[in-house]
Amino acid sequence: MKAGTRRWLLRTGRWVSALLAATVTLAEAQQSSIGGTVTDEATGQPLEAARVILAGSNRIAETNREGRYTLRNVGPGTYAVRVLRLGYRPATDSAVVAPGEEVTVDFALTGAPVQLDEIVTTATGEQRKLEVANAVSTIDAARVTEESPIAEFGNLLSGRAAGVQVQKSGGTTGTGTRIRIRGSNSVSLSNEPLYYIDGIRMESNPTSSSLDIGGFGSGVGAGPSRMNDLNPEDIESIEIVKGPAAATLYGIQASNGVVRITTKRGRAGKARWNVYSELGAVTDHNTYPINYNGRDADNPDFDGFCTLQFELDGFCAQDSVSQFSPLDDPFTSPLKAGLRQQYGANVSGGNELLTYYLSADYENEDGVYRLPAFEEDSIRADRGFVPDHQLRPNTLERVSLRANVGANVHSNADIQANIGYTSSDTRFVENDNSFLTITGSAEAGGVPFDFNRGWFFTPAELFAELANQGTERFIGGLTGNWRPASWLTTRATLGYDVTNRTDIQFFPTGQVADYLQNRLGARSDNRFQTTQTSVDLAATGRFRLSPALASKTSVGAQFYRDFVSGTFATGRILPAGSETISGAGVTEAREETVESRSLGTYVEQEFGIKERLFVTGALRFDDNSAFGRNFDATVYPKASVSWLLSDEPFFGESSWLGTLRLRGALGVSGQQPGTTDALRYYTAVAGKRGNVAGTGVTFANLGNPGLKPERSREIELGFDTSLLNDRLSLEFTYFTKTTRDALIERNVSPDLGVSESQFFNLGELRNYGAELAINTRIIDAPSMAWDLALSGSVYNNRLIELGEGVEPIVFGFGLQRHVEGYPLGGYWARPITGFDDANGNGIIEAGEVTVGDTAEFRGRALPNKEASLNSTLTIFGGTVRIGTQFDYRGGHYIDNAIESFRCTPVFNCRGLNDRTAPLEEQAKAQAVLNEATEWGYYEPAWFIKLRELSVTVNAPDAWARRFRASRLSLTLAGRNLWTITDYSGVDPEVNAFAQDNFATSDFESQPQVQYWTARINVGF
Amino acid sequence: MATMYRSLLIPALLLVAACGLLDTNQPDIVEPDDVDSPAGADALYIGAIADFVLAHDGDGDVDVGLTDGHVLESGLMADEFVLSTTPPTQQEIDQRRIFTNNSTLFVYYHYLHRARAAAERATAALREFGAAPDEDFRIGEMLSLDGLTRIYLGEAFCSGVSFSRVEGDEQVFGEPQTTEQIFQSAVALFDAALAEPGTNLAESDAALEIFNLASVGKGRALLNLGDAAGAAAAVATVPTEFAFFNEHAESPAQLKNAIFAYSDGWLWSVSDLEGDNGLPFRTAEDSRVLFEDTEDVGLDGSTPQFTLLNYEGFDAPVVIASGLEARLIEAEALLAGGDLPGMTSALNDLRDLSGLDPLDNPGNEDEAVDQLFSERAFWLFATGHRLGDMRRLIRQYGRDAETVFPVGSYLKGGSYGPDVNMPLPQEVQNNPNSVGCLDRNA
Repeated sequence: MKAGTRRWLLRTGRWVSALLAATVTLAEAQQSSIGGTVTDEATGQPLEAARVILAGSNRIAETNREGRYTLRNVGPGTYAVRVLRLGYRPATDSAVVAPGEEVTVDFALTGAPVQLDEIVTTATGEQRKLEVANAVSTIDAARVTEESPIAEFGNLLSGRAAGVQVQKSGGTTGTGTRIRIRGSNSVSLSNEPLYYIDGIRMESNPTSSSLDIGGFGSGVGAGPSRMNDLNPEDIESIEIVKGPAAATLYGIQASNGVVRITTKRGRAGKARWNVYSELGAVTDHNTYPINYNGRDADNPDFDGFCTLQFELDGFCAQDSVSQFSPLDDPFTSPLKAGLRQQYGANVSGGNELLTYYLSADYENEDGVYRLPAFEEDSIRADRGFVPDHQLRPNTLERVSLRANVGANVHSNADIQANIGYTSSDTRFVENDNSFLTITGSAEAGGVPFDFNRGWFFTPAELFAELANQGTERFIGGLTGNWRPASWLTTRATLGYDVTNRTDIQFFPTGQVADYLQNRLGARSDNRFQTTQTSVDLAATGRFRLSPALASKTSVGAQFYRDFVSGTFATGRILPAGSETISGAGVTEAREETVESRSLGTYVEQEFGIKERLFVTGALRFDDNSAFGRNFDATVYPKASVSWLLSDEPFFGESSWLGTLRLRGALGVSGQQPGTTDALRYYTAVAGKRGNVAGTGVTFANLGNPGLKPERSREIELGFDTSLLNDRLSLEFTYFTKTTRDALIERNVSPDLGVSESQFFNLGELRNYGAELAINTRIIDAPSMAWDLALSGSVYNNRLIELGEGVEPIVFGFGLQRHVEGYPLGGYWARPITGFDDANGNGIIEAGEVTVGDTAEFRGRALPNKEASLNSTLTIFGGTVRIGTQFDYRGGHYIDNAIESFRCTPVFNCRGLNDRTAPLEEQAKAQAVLNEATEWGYYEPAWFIKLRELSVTVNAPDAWARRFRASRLSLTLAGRNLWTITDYSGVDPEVNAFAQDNFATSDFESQPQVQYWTARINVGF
Repeated sequence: MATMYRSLLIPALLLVAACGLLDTNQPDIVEPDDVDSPAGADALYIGAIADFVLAHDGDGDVDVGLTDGHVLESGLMADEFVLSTTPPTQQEIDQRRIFTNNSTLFVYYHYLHRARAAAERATAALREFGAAPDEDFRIGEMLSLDGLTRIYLGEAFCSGVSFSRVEGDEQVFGEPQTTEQIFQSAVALFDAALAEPGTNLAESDAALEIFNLASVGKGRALLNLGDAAGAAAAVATVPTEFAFFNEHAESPAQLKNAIFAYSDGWLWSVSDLEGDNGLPFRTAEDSRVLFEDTEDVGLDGSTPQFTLLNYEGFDAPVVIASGLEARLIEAEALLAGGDLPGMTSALNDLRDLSGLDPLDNPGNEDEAVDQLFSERAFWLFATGHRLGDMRRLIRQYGRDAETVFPVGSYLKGGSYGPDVNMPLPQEVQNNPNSVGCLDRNA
């Protein structure tokens, strides 16, 4: 270390020490407090969970079960004390505090139909939403889980925040979710948001699997998303920070937005128990396409394959057309109702010194697959038993435990420890682009009269395969808050998220489908450990510079380490009956390690003028191990203004307008390159010469030493208002964000003979759009209330520049492209320009369809419009609550690839076989068959779904007391109940590419399934 | 304020980073400096062999997805195989209607160049870091593999292939080469291999093997240039029993024979009289083309499955050059010299070795050409020679493409296209010198 640097560090250290010593001394001399009780004005009942804020300081307290709060260690002076609580109007009172005095300030809150102000958690700590100039969506997860059909974490987000799209890739139990906030920001890097739980970085890989269960290679099929490891029952709230303007202080990787999850905490008071039990059914009510097979009984070579064209060509003479779908026939279909059950209990309580929240939860779900009875009988007759995994091949079993403990270790300091543990076991079936899928084997199957009863591979063969993922996950966080002075708050958070995962895939010898060498028996056992380590240090100082001007300065530093190690073991050629790799004729093993580290600091300065105008500026600095060697660190700035216009004296009183806030923010955030993208390197490869196998190296990555993170700059403008005597709140936000230095995975000219691609900071892309959220109480009567929440967004997405000389990037079956001037990942194909039954025979033949010479843009592959309508009707004085959610997505297309596949090469689509098929359907079949254009199968994919329906009955107190309970409720709920769409396929919401960055297709995918559940909640 | 913070925080950040907080361990990768050594040269040599095998035979690792190499792709476009699975990109090749955005085409083309570049790097490393370059037969072997990949590129792809390289951080882009130039560059490489001291070591079986490999390679390249006499001279010393293999193994997965994997997995089916012009690979009932009639359909659910049995398992080796090929080259030289009975006699000598009935003398030159190319097709079945031969029939023997390649109705619907070679994938446009195909003629 250089001498100058050492001197600088020593000098800085002395300053910090002196400052801390001074503040501690000062603090100990000023032991004052403000306390009181918060009650409901109408009923006089104490209100728990109200947030009490000491204006102009960092101090926020929460009321306990008795409605009491205490703000300790308050310095002498005059304070404004403000109280916020969901469902009530904010209230403010003043307190004059003398040294050593305990001041009491009580509040009686009046009800408000809509939420007007709240506390949100930002990178610098908790603060009033009013001060934050960005649109931050907050989801009251605790309430949602109790009253809505929430099977997994992704359901919590779906349809509850404007601009947030939750795209569940299919209906198979345990599969994952793709989440986009305000569209896609990156061409080549992940577009998934960052996740924090209780202040620590959380592993949230949208596809976390090495199982080869379809899709497009190992580990890319419809595998699980790690965010779904979280037990929704344990979550108190979710805040969604939507774009770079808001996420600047989260540093690199935050340009796609941030999802902040807060788990439930204990509150001072006697132990409160909550026990719940949920039982339900998972069902598939989809209608699957019919297989059309042209029959020519006299011509065995074409019996079942006698298409109209083959008949015209003279190969056969169609005597009939068989119409059958193995998935719709109750005898052959393996789609049966699955059982869903969930049981859990939690207890919370504590005292002024120690609070706790403890929970345990067990969840078990059988997917919709079950071995058909005729095959079950056959196997029992043959082998005497049916393995459980063959009977029920798709199941999820999960145990979740949580212990959150908070301790006030000193009047100036508290510690909060949050520990979550999840153990899960999930069995998957193959889906999406695999010969071994149920949907593929049915939709591209044979004819009903063949020995497979219309299946390509039978359910018994397909279900004999075991694909299982077991996880053990621990997420632990420890946060210490120290308030050495009334104006200074410091925070240190340490986090460790570790997932031990075991992926096992087993093909029992002789029992599985005769595909490749699987029937010889094979077993893979892949084990992984994924860790994320977080260190977050922050300090905030608040000063009142004048009676009208407050200052808040925050500094912070974060360190993150992500580490993945994995070992892969495979055995092939197993003796019959063997279930271990040990017995395999051929074995192999390999390992994999990935590590990245990042370090960042920030400084933020906020000025508050008269508690109604807040001006903020900040800088964020980041360095990361993935940057190229020629690039050092990056700087992200932000600036924002929040103005509570309605509090200005000139605004005056209005009978219809309650509050009006204007806000604007400008910020930059980024996305880091992949761990080794910048490096040039070789990887090991096996070779054999002279009958001796050896290990060599092959060129694996060209690298780019100048690689740096992407920069996404966003401008966000909006307003929040409450209208009609606070019965309606409205939030509107316009955003425009531009990503520069976009990392483009550019194809390298293949004649260089090196890696296929190389990352460059070449591109530029833009997203702009608007979000609207309206919350209103339509009916507000003592016995009845009807709340409506409408949220929606629309955005446009354009690739401005791909880089000079970079050809359009083609992916997703070769059908999707990133092309300059067009939305990212749109569908392209040579268009069908016309068709004409020229000879009038009622059949569109090969030469009667015309197709353009060059590919044209057909449409977006991802929705750019979304809206949701949540309705809650409460009747009989709150005894019955009826909730619904309608979910709309649109503006995009989906490739009905399974239908085109059924035309070629399978030949069982209607357009090729049925002479009564509409000419347009015949034309697109001919176009894909003879001209290899998918154009006709790109279909508008808009839909409206009745996503949720729930009825909750709160039992009268007398009923609850019979069970010695304080609270008793029953909820009946359904999910994915009804769909309106123009799409001709089964479900416009599926994706054969699962959680892929852009690629989308309907191909051999399990569509969404329905959930019906009954849930009992009992409180003690 | 920004300037002040920046002046404080960036140095602090860099200081902490300099202390090693951002250092990571990446054990899965080998950095370029690590191969600048004798051991590194050995690793590059083995790696080049692996890359060559991948390009020629494909990747048989079912866990990462099968990849088809030169044998399968060229045989698919020719009349050796028919696709019995579903990917449309492979169907385009089978149907001879190939688009430049075809991802299978890109992988095939890229793998060939990767093998070529790997051989070049290994050659350089063995020369610079090898313990005794003058006694190292491996240099000649690498030069020969380099030459063979050029032959495959010339036989399969249209005119216009470029050969580029990476030098340090710089990408040096080559100019498009005509098909003739490609084969000439291959000849030069085989000549270099033959001239290497390590290829000419006395009493070294390994050196002799490489000498024979380079000789057959040179003969094949010259044949493609229409110099049958020169080709025959090049292979004259190669014994008939010589064979140079790509070696395979059941494990690790990278070493699996992909040709077997494709056949055994019912993704590929042996053709017969494909598109009218195809040879009777099945109905001839010739012992050189082994197959099983499964009496079932392949994985596409519609194509009758005739499974290739020439490769018996994942560990079956694949011949890339042989004395048999040398004799066939000599037979073609006899044809070129107008000695038709001599040609048939040479072919019958080979047939006699396998107990096959002798052929009758052809009545005219056309019949002789048919006879020679049929014999080559059967002897060299499923070794990646047939497409090049079909193109030579057009280019050197004046046959019409419509009488050489499969034509008419394609069995999965539609009809065969006009392609007689593969276009360059669209990714070549990232080479500023590339203009795509110079022409699409054979």
